[in-house]
Amino acid sequence: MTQTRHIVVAGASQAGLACAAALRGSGFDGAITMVGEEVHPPYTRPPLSKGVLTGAESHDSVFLGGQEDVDLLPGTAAVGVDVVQRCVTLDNGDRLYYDGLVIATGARARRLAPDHPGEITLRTLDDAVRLREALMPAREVAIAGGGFLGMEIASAAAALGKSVTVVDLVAPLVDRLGPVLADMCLAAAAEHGVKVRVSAGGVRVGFDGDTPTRLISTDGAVLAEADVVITAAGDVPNTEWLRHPGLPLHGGVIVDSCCRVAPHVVAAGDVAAAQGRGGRPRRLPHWSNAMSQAKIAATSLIGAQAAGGDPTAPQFFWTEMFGLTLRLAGQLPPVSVPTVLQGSFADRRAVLVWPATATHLGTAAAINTPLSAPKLIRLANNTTQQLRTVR
Amino acid sequence: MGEHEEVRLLVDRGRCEGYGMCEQAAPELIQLSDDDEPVIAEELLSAEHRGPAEGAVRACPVAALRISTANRS
Repeated sequence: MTQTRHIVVAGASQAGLACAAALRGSGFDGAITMVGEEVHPPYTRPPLSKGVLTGAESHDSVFLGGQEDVDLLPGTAAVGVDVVQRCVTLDNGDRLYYDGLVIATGARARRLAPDHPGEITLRTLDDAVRLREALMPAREVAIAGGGFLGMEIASAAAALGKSVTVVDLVAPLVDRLGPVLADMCLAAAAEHGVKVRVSAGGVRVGFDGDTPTRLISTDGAVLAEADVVITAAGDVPNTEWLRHPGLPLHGGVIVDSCCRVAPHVVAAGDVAAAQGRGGRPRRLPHWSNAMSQAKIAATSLIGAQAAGGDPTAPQFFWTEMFGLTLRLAGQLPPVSVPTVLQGSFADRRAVLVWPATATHLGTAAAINTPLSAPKLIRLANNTTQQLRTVR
Repeated sequence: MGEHEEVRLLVDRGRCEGYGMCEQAAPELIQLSDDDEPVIAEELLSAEHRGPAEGAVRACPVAALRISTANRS
């Protein structure tokens, strides 16, 4: 597609930047304009709930660099798109005409108290810096949400010597890690003094003025009171600006296996919902997914070659909490019963493999074992292929 | 960008935790050893390796890679 001269990347995100880099890597030498709502240049988010929060890493270690040949418009949000005119409207009223558009506007933190400006969430670099400062003088910390983000925040707060309570509707992490790994994480959390409370009916945030001070169950019982109360209740894709008849939305913006959305429009990262197994479009808001989708989207956009990723390919994922480093590849949560390939589960230093089943891919996990992503993905793949061979 | 500029891809072995994302990002430049240590084919980067090297730097979850530019005197 030699007539593609100007590509607009909406979202100064990891996915947006990786896509810009892949465009350059594929030989695209036209103009790339990247618009980002935040005032910062693109940065990486995983350290925000880990080292940046504890202070082990400085907050400016997260910037990604490598956007010398991209026109970056920071502090500028895309507020509308017209896929017929091929034009993006910005919040300053300007219009950007494009030959190709990359939708990489990501997601934002879901709020439990959207009417309260004082609700504390962690998604952006500014959020992380503010939260780190708020944690310093605090003694008690309460977190609504026991997903990866909530548990990583709990781990960071515990490492800073805080008394931490996590509240969720279900037992934390089970839905993502399965019972075996979730139990191990919760045991480690308990050893670090973290209290976990399950409130099946619901959780809301209670405020004193603008300050969140407690978590409350639906029947009004106080589940936790704290100096710092954080909401870590998942994310919401930034799709509001995409309301246009030509753009399919379902949770996120729907992409095909080549990350295409509409003619001359692709999407990657947390904002994109891909057709997965089971047929329903699903977002996979994780780092490694953003990176692989960005590459596919870039090649699709300039028609360099039929890109086509395998939407069922095992993904890589990692988390750090309570002295555990977990690396995972393949189906999440794992299904069936794991085998210990190496090390000892009791010592929390092991490589585990969950074989594939008729309906699910295999999973591989490395616990406090520095096994590389390619090896783990191979392990997860092998269990899947073994099954395919046998069947 | 004179001919006296030397651009290198450097690994901080203290930071590296063997995630291996760099190999996925730039297989033409970086291969993992059996111990999952990144082995860089050409530390001194040619023009064609600049892009893949930047991709590898971005892909590292623990920021163990960096590109250093030095002027040779």
